[in-house]
Amino acid sequence: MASTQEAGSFIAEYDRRFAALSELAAALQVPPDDAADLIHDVLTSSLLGRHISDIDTWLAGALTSAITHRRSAS
Amino acid sequence: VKKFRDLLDQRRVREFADTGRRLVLERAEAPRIVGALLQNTARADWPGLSELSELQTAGALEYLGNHFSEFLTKDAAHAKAIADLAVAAAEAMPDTAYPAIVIGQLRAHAWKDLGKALRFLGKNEEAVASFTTAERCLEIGGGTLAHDRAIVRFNLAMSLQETNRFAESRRVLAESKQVFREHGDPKNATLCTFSEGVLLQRMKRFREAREVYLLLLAASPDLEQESRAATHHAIGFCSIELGDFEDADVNLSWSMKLFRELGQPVSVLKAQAGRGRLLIRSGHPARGIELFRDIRRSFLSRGLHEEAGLCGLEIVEGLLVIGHASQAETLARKLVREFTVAGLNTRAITALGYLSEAITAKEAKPSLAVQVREYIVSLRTNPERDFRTPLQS
Repeated sequence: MASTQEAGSFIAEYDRRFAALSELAAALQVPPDDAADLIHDVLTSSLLGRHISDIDTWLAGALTSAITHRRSAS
Repeated sequence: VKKFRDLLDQRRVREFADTGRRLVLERAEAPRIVGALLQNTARADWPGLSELSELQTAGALEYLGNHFSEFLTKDAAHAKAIADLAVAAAEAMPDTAYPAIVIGQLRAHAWKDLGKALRFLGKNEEAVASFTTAERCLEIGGGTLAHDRAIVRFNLAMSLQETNRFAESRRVLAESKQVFREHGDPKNATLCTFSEGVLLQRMKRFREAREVYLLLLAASPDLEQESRAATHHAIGFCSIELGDFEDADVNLSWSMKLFRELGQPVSVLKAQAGRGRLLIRSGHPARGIELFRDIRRSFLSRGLHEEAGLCGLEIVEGLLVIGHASQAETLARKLVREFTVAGLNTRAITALGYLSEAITAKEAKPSLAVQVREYIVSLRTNPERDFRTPLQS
């Protein structure tokens, strides 16, 4: 678990990634309230806590996995 | 799409930004603060350090995690002391110190590291318990921590193998691999595949194991050279068991070539040992014995007594194949002395003693030497396993 991001870049990265994942969530027809929380959780678990080499694929995988999990749980 | 962002409670966004800022500071300070604490405190007193607020930070835990990784293969007891400290600090940390997801990750990875240390120390039941606790820490976030969970469960699968829960281990490996693939993590997915092959070999399902390894090579053109060498090595050993000696020879040759290029002479010797076994099994025991004697000398000259002893057992097998029981007995007794002088696991020495006595009593078949060798190898990961004689097993 390591990341070398500068302080100011966290939120910029967050905003940029949030927009990209919103496109994916919309394509997967996730209800808006759910989508906002899921995307936030995915970004929190990755941008703050983990070193991930291929972050684009990772984020898409994490969001898709979380959506699948939520749908199977409901 | 923009409205998703507007629907989010803005306090959560502020919490994210604040946490990000804190992490940058903590990561910058951890090497100085945590490094000094570890250096200036006797290892026996480390548990008390977990009470310090300086250690109850994400930066400090990340530092401990990196420090742990440096020591795991060099000194597992030291690595365990680091992991014990990380677990204590992570558990002592207030639940509100970071967003709940980050707290879950920090605690889970601390428990996961402790499980890995326990596995390296051969305490596999305790390792399983640690991985199970790690998994429980990740039961938040509605599926967003699937990748963290897969990392924990991959490690769990390794320990399940050591406790003979093979079917469960295989199922967990397959599930973890799927998660790694979905997250674009080919390195860990490849590790799962390789581990599945190793598991099948342990179950003596050599044909299936070889299929798994062959598929791995075919599906992973970017496989690192070391992994490629290890895979050819494993295919070679499977092919020997399947009596496919030509294929074994080709794969062991590839393995030796790749390990030689990597500058790993011990791995080259281990692949050569495969060729020695191939010669004995394919009807050329005298040549196999000769090759094993050379390899054994090389291991002894490097102080690798256990590897040398395993080669000795391959020679004992060969000598029993050609009916030279008295030479086999002499060598088996020599191995007992070597293992005793080197201070190796007393259970290994007991098993070697049993083999010597069986040869003396003219009751030893080549398969007994194989059984003792496999038992000694299993002690590396399961040092308290009992030896079962052919009558018991």
